[in-house]
Amino acid sequence: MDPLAFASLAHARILLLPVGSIKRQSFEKWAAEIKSFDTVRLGDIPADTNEEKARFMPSPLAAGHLHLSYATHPLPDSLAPLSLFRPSDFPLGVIGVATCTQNDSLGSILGHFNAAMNDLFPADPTFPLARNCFVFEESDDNTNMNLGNTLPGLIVIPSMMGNKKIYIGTLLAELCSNILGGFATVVQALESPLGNEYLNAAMFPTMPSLSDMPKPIDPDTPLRSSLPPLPSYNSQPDLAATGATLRAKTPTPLSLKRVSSAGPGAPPSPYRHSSLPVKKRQIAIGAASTHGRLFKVLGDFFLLAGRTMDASVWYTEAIAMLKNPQDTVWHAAVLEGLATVQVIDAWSATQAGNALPDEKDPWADIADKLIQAIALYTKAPSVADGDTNSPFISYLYCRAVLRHTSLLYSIWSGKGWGPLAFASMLEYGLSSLPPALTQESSSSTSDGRLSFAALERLTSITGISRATIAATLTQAHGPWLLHLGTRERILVLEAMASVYGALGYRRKEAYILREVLGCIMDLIVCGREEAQAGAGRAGGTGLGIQGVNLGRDANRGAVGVRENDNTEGNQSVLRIVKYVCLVHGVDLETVKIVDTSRPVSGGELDTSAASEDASYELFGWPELQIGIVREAIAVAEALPDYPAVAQFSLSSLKSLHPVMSQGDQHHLYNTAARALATARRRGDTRSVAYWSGQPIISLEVQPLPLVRIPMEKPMSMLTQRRSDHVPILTGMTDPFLYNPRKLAAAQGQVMLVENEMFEIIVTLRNPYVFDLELSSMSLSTTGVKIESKPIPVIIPANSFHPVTVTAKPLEPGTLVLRGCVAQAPGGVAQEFVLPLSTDEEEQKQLRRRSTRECEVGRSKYSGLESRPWSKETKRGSQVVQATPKTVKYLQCKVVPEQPLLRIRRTSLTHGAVMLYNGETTTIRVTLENVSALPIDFLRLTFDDSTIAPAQQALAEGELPVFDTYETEYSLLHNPVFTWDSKRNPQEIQPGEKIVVTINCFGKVGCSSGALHISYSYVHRRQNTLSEPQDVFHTRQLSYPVLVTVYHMLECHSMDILSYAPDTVAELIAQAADNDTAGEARRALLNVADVAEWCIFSVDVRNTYGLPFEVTFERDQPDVEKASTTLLVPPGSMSRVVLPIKKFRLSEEQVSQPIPTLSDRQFVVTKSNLSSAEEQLQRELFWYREELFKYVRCSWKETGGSRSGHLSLRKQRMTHHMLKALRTDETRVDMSMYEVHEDEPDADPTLVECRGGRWLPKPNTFIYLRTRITNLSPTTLISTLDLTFEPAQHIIFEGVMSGIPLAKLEIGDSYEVEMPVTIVSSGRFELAAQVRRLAQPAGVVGRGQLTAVVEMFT
Amino acid sequence: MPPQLRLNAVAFVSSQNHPILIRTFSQPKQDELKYHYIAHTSLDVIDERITAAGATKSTECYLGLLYVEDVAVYGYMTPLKVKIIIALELSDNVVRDIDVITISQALHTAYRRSVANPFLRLHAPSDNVTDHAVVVSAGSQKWKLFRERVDEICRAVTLPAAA
Repeated sequence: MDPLAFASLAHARILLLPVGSIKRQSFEKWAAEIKSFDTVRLGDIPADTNEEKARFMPSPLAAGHLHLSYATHPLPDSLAPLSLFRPSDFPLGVIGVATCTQNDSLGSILGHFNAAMNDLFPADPTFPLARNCFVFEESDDNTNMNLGNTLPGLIVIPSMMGNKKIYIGTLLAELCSNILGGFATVVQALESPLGNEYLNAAMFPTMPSLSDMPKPIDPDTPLRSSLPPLPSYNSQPDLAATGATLRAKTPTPLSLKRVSSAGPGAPPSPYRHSSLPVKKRQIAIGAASTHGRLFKVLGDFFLLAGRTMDASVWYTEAIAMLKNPQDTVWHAAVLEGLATVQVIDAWSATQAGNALPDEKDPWADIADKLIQAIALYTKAPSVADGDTNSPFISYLYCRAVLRHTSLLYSIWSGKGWGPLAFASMLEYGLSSLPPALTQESSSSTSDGRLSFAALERLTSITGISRATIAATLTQAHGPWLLHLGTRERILVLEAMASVYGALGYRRKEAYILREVLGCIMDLIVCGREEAQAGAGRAGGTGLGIQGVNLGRDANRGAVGVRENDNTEGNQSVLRIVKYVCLVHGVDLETVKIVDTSRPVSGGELDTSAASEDASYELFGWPELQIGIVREAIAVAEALPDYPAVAQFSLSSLKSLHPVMSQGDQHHLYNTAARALATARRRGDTRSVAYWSGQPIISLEVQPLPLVRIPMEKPMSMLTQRRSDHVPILTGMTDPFLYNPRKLAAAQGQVMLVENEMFEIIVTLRNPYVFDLELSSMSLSTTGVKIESKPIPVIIPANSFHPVTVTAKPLEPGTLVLRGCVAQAPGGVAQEFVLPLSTDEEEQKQLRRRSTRECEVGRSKYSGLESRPWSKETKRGSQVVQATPKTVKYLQCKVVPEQPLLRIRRTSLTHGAVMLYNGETTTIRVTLENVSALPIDFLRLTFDDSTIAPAQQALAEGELPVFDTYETEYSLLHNPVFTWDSKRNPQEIQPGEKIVVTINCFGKVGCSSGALHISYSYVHRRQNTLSEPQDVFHTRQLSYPVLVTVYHMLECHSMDILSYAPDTVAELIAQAADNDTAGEARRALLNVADVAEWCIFSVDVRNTYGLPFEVTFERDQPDVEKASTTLLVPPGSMSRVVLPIKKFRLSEEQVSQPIPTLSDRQFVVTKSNLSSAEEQLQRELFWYREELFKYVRCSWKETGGSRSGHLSLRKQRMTHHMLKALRTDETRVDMSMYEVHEDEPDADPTLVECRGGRWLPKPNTFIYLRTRITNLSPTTLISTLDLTFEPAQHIIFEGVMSGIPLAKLEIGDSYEVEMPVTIVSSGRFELAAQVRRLAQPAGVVGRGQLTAVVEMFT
Repeated sequence: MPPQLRLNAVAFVSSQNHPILIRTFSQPKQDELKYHYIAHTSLDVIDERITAAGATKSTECYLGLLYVEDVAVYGYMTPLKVKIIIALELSDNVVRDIDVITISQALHTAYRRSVANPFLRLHAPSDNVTDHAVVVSAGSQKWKLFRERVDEICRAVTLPAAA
């Protein structure tokens, strides 16, 4: 039962006192047992035989109840003056609760009890009126306690007793009987004139002191040793008579009441009789002091005794008497009492099962009384008695206001004027919620509060609006609270806060709670000062407020003596602080407190929540929030609870930093740091979790230096030693211009090497205005073990800060970088994971963010429901998180330990090489294995500046076929760098050095190149059981080379001429200038059969500053080698001439398409040439190729040692050249024979021929012999056509055209003879044409003969 | 002639219970925070009134006397749920509702005109342009016209008393 219950005036309060060495647990158990009796039926109370004491005793058949309330704390001394005014506040009875163990004797328990009583109560108090000590036997073996019952005031309850409850009930009834007896004695004392004088002496009178009272006559009556029994036989006769009449009269109305107790309405008229003696007595006492106060006390006692009828009678009397002399305070108290009587009556009526009268507002009358009482209290002349009374008046005023509030509230929460409301009025005060509300609330909101709808429903049921209740309650809040003692003030404020809370006025509640805190902190500080002064007050127990610790944890003196902290009270205070802050929209627990002594459970951090911090929405009233937070921190500092200080300051920093001033931020940060340091110094195991949100923005593995990157290659690459695949031409093997897979593969895993350091760049963020210090930051990884040292970091204010962390993987495998573990100074380390943002995740985040943004402006939930954390639970459009979240982290692949190679030295100076075009030189590179592993695989690849443009040109595919071939040829057959893997060593033992020789070829246009040396340790020792790996890793070493190629010799205008007589003559004339060289050249030009040869010529120009000797060499099969050398002076051009024997390529060879050297796909022929043109192009191509095989050219530095190769490949071949170079399919030789007229039988002789001209005689018979030889690779069937020009001067026999020729096998020849006679002089052209009959038809051979005839020689 | 009223403080609270502007006119200036608390705690009562009004489908802006402590607190809510809280000094005169309504409407007009300022959006964060942020920024230190208007109203209310 609560001390602030509405019906507290009717509660007989009993103090439960732990006695002796009782354990807290057992005390609470037995106390609960006792407390279960909240009412005692009047009929159960044993009547006292003593007539003096029987005045307040109920008759044996009384139907009423005696209401009990229990306290475990005595009332503070400061309220002692109220003892007669408000007896219900004082413990009327005391029950000591003790357990007996083997160590304690009953005597000592009694001793303890008495000592405690003496300690708690002043030497001469009015109350308590009765006391008893219950000794509960804990175990069965305590047999030595049998004597217990003999000790007075001590009752042993044996453990074997079956129904303890009934027994305790009986004992309680006995105690109540004693109390009622006590009432009688008190009243007796007051009824004496002296007593009445005392009663009227001051506003809050005291009992007459011992010395003033006459000595008691009966020594047996004392209830307790300290209080002498009040006189039962009064020595003063005049008042005794009135007293006797009073005593005599009272039983009569009581008995009457019992008869007519069925009517709970207005007091029936018979009771009016009781006022008769009063009038009589008033005369007896005189006008000096009225009996109003006495009657009020009587009313109070009757109310306490459960006799409401009597109480209301006496109260009514009291009002009548108190009205006139304006004793406002007592008048008000009477009104309160009357109000209580009405409620008790109503309650009893419902208990008895009677129906309630159906009235509109049955409580209006009660409320009126209370309002009147409140008004009277306000008017109380507090100055009359000096300032000493004002605390009491304020207290009474507040109590009255609370009583009124309680009435309204109980009716409101009890859904109207009914049993529920009565029960709550009787039993529950304002600081504890009635069960009806809490039951209902369990379904409404999670935090035990009613929803708005439920609150409003209560209002509509009862017709009492919350505002009315609040308005009533507000009256209690005012400057007069300052007059109250601290404890009372806390009590009042607490009650106010809880009512406001229950009404749903949470801001008001928070506002009041702040004041409660202020009071509590006052007490704590005071208590601490007392403790420091050495008073050593035990504190704690004296305060009727739950969860307040009276500064027991203060340091004593200058010496660091520290008591064992009892932090339970602190926790309660902090709970209030947190609640207040929550109402204001500040969550002080955003930063968690962690107990460092316990191992941290590696709970998975909700990353989505962390990421949502970014868009944390501010709520509330920044001005108030900052003030509130300051207060909260001040409270925590005063307690002192250092981890809480840190928690509060960091939490508020975290959630409020956008609205905080710089100074505040600095202050809070420093406070937190200081508090953490102090907490640690004091050995507090608690600490705050890492607080500052997600600090990591990005996590990035710094790629290894180029020489250390391992590259994964499939094992199969080793087996195919020589592939046809030519990698150099395939700049882009990928058929797709854009290949997303390739991109993904490039992004893929980062490769790390076992036992080699790598670096990770972590980007951290600090949104605050101060430098954020992290005492340690380390990587959080799974998978492979790594070796890494945590490092301290200071993030500059308001910035992003990259930090490099080095680590070393200790074994091969997969390394997953989850994130970082960060620890603030003095805090607890926390892991922050940073998953890779996949597209899906990004989208989800985006959606979530847009949903939130969409809802940001909406004010669907108003007021406190829109606080960020309560909003979160109500969000309507929850993003469906059905898909299982697979969090991906940054992964690295750690490969086994790799050897390391370095270039020790090279033969190049400054890494540069200078060459003439076509020159070849060698580069020697010395490599050293600097690791402990051997190298058994070594490959060199090269790159130079000509490759990329060529590859690009090829890739574009715009080149004609011919150019494509040329480009490819240049790439493939004339690379800048070459290396012979066969001749160079492949294995390098640890620490060993080898030399690698590389050829370098001068190619115009090359400006730079690079050597890439890939190496690996492939054939490792393997565990026999482990599966051989299908990949190996290589590392690459690159060495850039600067290449300079001088362009000095150029070839121009290649030509091929047939061996016509005039051309030869011309050439010879050209060469005739100097002697020896000319001779040699002439000799070269002399060939056996002119028809079988042609002349190759090319111009060579020297564009360089030095003379060069150029040598052309002919190396043709079946022909002896020949060469021609000539000096090309700087800046001049020379022509080189070389005879070449004609050749013919087979048809199959020529008809082949121009090959592509690479295996590029999708080479679409772009040309739209006709087939004949294409055939021609092919022929040109193949003959040129053949020609370049036969002719080689080289150059040599004149007077120097350098030599090189001269390329002809830029020269194009024309159709004309082709005709000169190619042997015809048939050879047609025409000759003339003459037969001398004088000897016709002789063989014909060859006609004279000179200078390629035949000189036959005119008018003679001449045989024209045409010899056709088949030179083609197939059998030839053909006809021969002859033409003569001018034909009219030649006489011939036979047909001219279509002369059939025999079928000519390969190499066969056939002769056709035709007799002709030339009949004129002049120049005659005889021509022959061989025409193929089979497909392809056409002319396959021609012959010509020139005859010059001179008639007149 | 309306009875003399003394305006102690005026508070504008946004629809999401962010303070927009709180002006105090009581002579000792030190208890500005007190009016912050008064405005804050009166939100409790306003919440209740709103719920009650919602139940009866009332469209009344004027919320009436909220509570009396050492000042009388009146409430007014605009259709867009901006709450205007007026703290009047306690006096023995009868305060007529119509006077409070007149003051509230004047304040409402002042607020409306200030929010209509197109330049308010100029400094609002561009990525998160909600009306709410704009509304709250109307009372910030930068915009003095709003404060001047409110002060003007206060003067107009108290001047007859002084005269």
